[in-house]
Amino acid sequence: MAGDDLITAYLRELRASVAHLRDADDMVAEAEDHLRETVERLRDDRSEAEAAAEAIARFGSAGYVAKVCTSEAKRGAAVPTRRTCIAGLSLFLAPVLLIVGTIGNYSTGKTFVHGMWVFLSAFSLPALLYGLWGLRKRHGGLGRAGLIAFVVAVVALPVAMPFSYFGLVVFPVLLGLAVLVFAVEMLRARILPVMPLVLLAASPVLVLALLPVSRLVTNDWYLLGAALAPVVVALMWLGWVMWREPAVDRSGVGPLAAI
Amino acid sequence: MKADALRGHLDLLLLAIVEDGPYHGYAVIEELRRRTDGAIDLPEGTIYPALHRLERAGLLASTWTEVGGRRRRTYSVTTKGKTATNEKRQEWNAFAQMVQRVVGAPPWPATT
Repeated sequence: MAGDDLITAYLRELRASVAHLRDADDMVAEAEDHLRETVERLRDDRSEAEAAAEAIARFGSAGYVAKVCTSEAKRGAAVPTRRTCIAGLSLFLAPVLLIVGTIGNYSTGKTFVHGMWVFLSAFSLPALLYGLWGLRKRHGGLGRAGLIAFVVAVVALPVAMPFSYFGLVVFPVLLGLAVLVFAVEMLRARILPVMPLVLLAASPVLVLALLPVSRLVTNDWYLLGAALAPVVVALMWLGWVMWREPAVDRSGVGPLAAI
Repeated sequence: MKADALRGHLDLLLLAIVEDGPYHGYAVIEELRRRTDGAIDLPEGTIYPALHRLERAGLLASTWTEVGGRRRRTYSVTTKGKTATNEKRQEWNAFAQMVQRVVGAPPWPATT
């Protein structure tokens, strides 16, 4: 019965470690089934206590298993879905809206059409944020760094607004940092093509480096605009790739569609 | 093989095994060990959170039964999971072929 005591004690410790999770009871029930199954198979050539100790050693410490449970509970599956496809389209359109809207804004007078251009420019931000949300989903969440980066991107505008004209610096800095973290985490995940991710990572660095020069030394935006070119290409590239991926929850697509 | 080397591939491994199921967790791990000749060295308890995550994503479904007085959860792949498995398998094959073309290529002839 010493083996039984060992497993009971382990399960008690595991239950306490995963108590904060919604499926704690299921996890403990599965652990018990697994451990007792292992003991049944191991006890032919060793004592019950030795088999239980071996089963627990193979299963992993309660603390480590609980840690993995917690991190997995925060993750999603890194698969393309209809939502990530639509978010991809949004990501593709975000720079297009900004560029077209900005060109229209500076080339037309104060008419109804001008208001439409301004609206297009402004709409590029929610389109970008929705695209970033899709990138996170496509990568199973991108971990804590991805979540923080996304929150930074969302709050960048409201945080920058109180800074008045200096907000024109604060906003791109916050957005640039968020995009940089996204790019690094996506490169680590290695799910989408590497080249646009490298471009995405390079551009915020370039922008952040040129921002002081552009604002404080030359006081023009052309330099900054050129530094933004890689990020425009990267966002459109990534958006297009995500948009074209076959969603696993869409009927009539994927390798099984013909079966 | 340690957990770090499996980063990003565990989902495909689990889906590919359960696809031939249904299996309960212990059987999944046994099958993983059998197919890899014991090369994969993961704490067995870490497989379950990954199975739960795949179920939350709709790629796996599970049912509970009573076996020998214990509750046992058995996993099977959903239609959505089969599509995802095939997608991931194709991605893996393309990646593995690309790496093989690099590491398996004959050396470039010396010019000196």
